[in-house]
Amino acid sequence: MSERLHPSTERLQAYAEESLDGAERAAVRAHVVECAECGAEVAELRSLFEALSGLTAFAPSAGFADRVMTEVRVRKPAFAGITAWTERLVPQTTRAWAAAAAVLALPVVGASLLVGWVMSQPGVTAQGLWTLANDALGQVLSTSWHWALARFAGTSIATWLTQALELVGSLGHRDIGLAAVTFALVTVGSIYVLYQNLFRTQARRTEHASYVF
Amino acid sequence: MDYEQLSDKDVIKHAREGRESAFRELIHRYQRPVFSVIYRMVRDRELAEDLAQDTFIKVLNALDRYDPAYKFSSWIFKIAHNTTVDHLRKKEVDTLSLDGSPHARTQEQAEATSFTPADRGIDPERYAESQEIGSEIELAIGELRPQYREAILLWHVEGRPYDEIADIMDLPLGTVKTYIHRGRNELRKKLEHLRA
Repeated sequence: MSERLHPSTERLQAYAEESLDGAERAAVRAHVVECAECGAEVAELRSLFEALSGLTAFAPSAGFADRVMTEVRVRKPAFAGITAWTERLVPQTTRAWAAAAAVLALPVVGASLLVGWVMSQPGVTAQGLWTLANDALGQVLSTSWHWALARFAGTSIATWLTQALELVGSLGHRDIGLAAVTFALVTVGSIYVLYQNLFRTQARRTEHASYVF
Repeated sequence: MDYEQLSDKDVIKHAREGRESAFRELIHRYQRPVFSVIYRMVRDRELAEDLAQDTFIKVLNALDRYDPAYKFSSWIFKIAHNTTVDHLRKKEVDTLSLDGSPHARTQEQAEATSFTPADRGIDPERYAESQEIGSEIELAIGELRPQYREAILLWHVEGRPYDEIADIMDLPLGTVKTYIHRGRNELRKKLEHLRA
């Protein structure tokens, strides 16, 4: 159905540039087909648009790129190479971060299993292990460190540590493995939460950042 | 390396890694559109070269700060716009404002007090320094007020969408549409004598 009144110049321009949606476009088209005045205006607009889009793209004079490049700071490839190599080491996905966290947790799990295994051996007690470590450390470290360690041995922290070692010693292999896996999962979870807070939030923030100029 | 097949973002990645050829590829891709817009804004080839050069230097030295969430073309046109407008403002600071009086409260008041070559009684032909911008349509474009001219050039010549033009010119979308609409109407009037 054609429009009785002439469409506004805005609508005719929108029609000529083909930015009207289906129904509106159909309504204007129906009018333009019947109205010679509007038809002529649309034809004139299209002719203007064509002339504008056909304007020459000017080029700057020869040597423009060279003149620009004399003022541009290009990072040295060697430095850039190191940066690129370092960037490749940083995990890019959540899965990669989880895998990296699991790998990082392996030494902790391994050490826990080793201590558990030693403690489960017959004749090995937490007190004996502590004494051994204390003696070894005492020989290696300076007098001041030894003094500090001796002072530490009298504190409640040392007592708790000893009790913890005894508890570990009383556990079986399966219990220790279970504890190690739990510990690893908690570590992975913690690193994931840290990643979400440190990196993902930053990414969301920069999505809507304004231009630097 | 053949950069022609790569997207702007991939070329920028190479440029950030310190490959000079990637910088040159970005210049090659954008020197014509950026220079053309600036040239048609200032109507002086030598000055346009200087402003285009400033634009590229700013852009390429700030690649590390480029946010890939935005289109590179928008970013470079925005910097070209700012560089050109800054120059025109400095040039006219003691006479008339390019954007109109700072005390203007409405768009109409701003336009009524803004600078255009025609307001100052300058013969448009004086702006056409050479044959290349001496055609009827180029002269008509040169007579438009700068805001209309830039919006028209970005839409019709460079094919930028309305929202991108609004971003480049730092204007509301509706204002950009109004500028383009009015600019077209002015062009039609100026070119009326050419109609058969």
